[in-house]
Amino acid sequence: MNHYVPPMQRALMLPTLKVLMLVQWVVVLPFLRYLPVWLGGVLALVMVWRWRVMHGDMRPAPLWLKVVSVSVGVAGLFASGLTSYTLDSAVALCLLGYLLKSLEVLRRRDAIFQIYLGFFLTGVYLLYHYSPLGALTAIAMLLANTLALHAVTADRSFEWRRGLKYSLGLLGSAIPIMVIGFLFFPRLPPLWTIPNDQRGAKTGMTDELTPGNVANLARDNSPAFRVRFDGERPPRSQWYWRGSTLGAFDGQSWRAFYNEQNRRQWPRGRLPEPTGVGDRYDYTVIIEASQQHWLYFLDWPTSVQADNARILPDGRAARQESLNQAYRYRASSSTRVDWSGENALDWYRALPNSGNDRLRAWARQRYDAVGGDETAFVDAVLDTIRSEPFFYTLQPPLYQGNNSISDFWFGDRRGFCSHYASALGFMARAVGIPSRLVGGYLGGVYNPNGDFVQVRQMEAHVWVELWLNDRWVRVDPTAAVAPNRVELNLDDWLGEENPSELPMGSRVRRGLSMFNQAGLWWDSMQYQWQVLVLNYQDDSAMGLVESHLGRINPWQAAGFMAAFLVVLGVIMAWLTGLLRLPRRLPEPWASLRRLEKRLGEREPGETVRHYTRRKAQEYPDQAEALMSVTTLIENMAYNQDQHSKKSTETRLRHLVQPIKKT
Amino acid sequence: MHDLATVTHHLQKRVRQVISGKDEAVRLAWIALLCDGHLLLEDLPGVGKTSLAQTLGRLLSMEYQRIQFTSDLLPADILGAQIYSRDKGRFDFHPGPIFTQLLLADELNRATPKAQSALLEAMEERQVTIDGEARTLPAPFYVIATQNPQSQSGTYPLPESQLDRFFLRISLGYPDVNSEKSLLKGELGRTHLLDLKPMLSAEQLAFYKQQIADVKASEAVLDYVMRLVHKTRDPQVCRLGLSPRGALALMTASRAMALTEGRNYVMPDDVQAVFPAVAGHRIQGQRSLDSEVLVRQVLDDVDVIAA
Repeated sequence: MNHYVPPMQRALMLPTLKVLMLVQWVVVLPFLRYLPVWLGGVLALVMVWRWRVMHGDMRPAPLWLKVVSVSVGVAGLFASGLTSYTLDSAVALCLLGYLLKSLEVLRRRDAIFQIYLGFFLTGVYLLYHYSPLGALTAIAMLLANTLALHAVTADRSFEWRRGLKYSLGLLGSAIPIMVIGFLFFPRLPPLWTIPNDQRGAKTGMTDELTPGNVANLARDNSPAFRVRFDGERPPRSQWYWRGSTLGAFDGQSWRAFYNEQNRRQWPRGRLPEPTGVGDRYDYTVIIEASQQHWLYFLDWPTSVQADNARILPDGRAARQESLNQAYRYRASSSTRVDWSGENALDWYRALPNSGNDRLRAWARQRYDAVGGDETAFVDAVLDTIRSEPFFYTLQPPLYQGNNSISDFWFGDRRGFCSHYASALGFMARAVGIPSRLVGGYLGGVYNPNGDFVQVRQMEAHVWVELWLNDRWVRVDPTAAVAPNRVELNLDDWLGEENPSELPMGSRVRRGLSMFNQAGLWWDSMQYQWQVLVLNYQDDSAMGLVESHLGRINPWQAAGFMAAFLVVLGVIMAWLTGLLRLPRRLPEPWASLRRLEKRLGEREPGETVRHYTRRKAQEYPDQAEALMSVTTLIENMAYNQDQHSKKSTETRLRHLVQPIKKT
Repeated sequence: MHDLATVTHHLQKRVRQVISGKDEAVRLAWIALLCDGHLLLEDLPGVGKTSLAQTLGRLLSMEYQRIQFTSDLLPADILGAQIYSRDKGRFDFHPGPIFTQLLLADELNRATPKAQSALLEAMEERQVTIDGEARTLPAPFYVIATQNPQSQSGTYPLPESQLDRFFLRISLGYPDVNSEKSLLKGELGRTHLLDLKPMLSAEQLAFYKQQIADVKASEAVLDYVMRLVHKTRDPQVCRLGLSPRGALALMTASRAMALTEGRNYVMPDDVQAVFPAVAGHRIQGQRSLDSEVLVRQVLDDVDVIAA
């Protein structure tokens, strides 16, 4: 006697198991570089095990082995430092489960579980990568999982050709739903944000700068932000992108007055915005996730349109939340501004009482030599940098201790922007000129395909601002030591001066003009992706919602999303035939149904006659009426010579009308 | 000439003189004959199987033979054989009991499969082949086989393929109190068999038979039949479902049932009335359910009216 096995418990065929294994690789590989190394080892072991089980060389894992594997795996995660509940540890746990699941993927139910988890992990992957390349990877993962789904559910044995055709068809037909979801899914801020990613290193300018401690500036090719100007672009030499202003100096480090620690003490209320008096530029910035609050502007900013961002008195602007995903904002800048707001100049003259004494004395001597003329003093310092053997390098020696700036100035004389800026800032303070360091980026690459300027992390820069003639003046000592650094973009500059210091990608790019074109094209595509996909937001629709319902709290947002999903689900259920809208029953069944509603349900296996007979016993008063109804229904349904269909239907309805419980 | 409903009524009344309280079984047996189908009576010994078969044969004025199946019965005992005739100096064919119009195969499952299959082949082909010579059986040719429940000792169960050849299978069950009382009083029983007068001629029977094809079956009923058949083929319910031959038998029997009720159209009630007899011996449940329970389950689960 053959025993019936429900479909979900049935064993899978060998080709299907192979596909499932392959799909597992496809899903895990993109995560591999974020995971503890030993998890890769687990993957390999599990795969070998599974391969042998599949071919019947080994027995399936017994329960104790599963328990031991899970315990060891979780302990391993703890040991790897994933102790608190973060996105990372959740993902690692999920991946561990996904890998260990293959100890028992032999039946259809397990396979389905693996596939669903694979889909889930695809979604998780998108949290880490939202570049076009990430999207392509995610699509590959989706394809792999639909392929597996086909392999598991197909009646026949698996064939690659048919499987691929099927999965591509499935993905293709999902595109309209994806587009609809993309366009209409309510992106309400409290929920629809990419979770705070603690792992992501903070990039860009920090609130503190200690030039001597930085020996090797990371030459990171990745983009910091991209700018598109509304009209004319400013000339290259003006591409100073301002981020942080470091006004407090303790002898070694420069710190921002307004930093994230003293956020509560920032000036409140509306702040006077600087008035632009030079050439005005309007532009849109898309900034990559930096895990910081600071926004970047063309020097000098005059206004900014970003949520709750204000331009602080020292010329920087912060957003309320830190940038844990790419963000777009608009701003205006002017080449010259009138800083009516500044009134704390003494802060910018403060120096510690001792340290760098030799440089202090040197500066005072120079100041006296030009007769106390501040501008002439600055020129003199810059002249010194130009004429004496100072070197610009990205790999300077370390300068540490209380006399670090002095050591740089009189010692090695090798450094990069922060060293020179720090030295100039120090000397200005030493002679009583208010000074501060400004951190940001210098330069960028204009991309003609996308009409935007791309600024990369490697273009980070520090310069000095001095209070001369009642306004802040930008002075860039780096221009004195390496004038081309200002004029050319960093790739070109390094390529000319110091090719060995170029990052690998740039070196290759420079070598092949074809690559150069492709690189520009790729940057342009990423920009378009950000503009069109990541920052897609129907602001007008959002405004409509807010104006009717006020500010939306998380519960409401969740409610909206749930409603949206329900609507989508109902539509899909209807399209796939899972949900059938109630149809109008034809006569005589409609009358029968009315009868059932009044007198009680009919059993499925009960014929009309049996039913009415039963009801006639329950309600003897209605027996006669029921008898006539029965005859009529039977005649209509089974004896198909009704010449006057309409009149029969009317008669039936009249007969059913008075019948009720008595 | 009376219509079939009246005839059926008369028939039931006459049979009551011999066996009482079995009107529905009698009707089903009568339907099997009307539909040119063989009948399998399965029940305990001594509840009136043989009496019913004899009564029907007599009432319908058919030539009647009876074979008692035993474990040492040989095919030749059923079919007949060539026997050397010394007078004529040649082999003469001596037809066996199968050359008749109504054959009662008593306790069919007591015989060995070899003997069983001799009969079962004849049932299907309506001819027998003896020593390479095909011989046609008289028409009409009906078999009413009786069978003891398979749990009883000394039985060879009929294989599924052969059960399918029986148009209907019915069981009689114990008589009710009153019937059994009259039996004990001597008012009933086989002794009264001889008093019975034939009530239908072969021509009359043929006349009623041809009416069956004209009984209307609406879409609604056909759909219901299809749902029933489909249900028996659901692997979650049945291991062995209703064959197309079974489905056809269900429809034909339902038509005949409608006629005996005096209607010229089929209703689900007719289908339900014949379904246990048609399907009971043809389907098998996944779990070893009693066939009666299984059939009941199918009837209960399938909606009479389109879902």
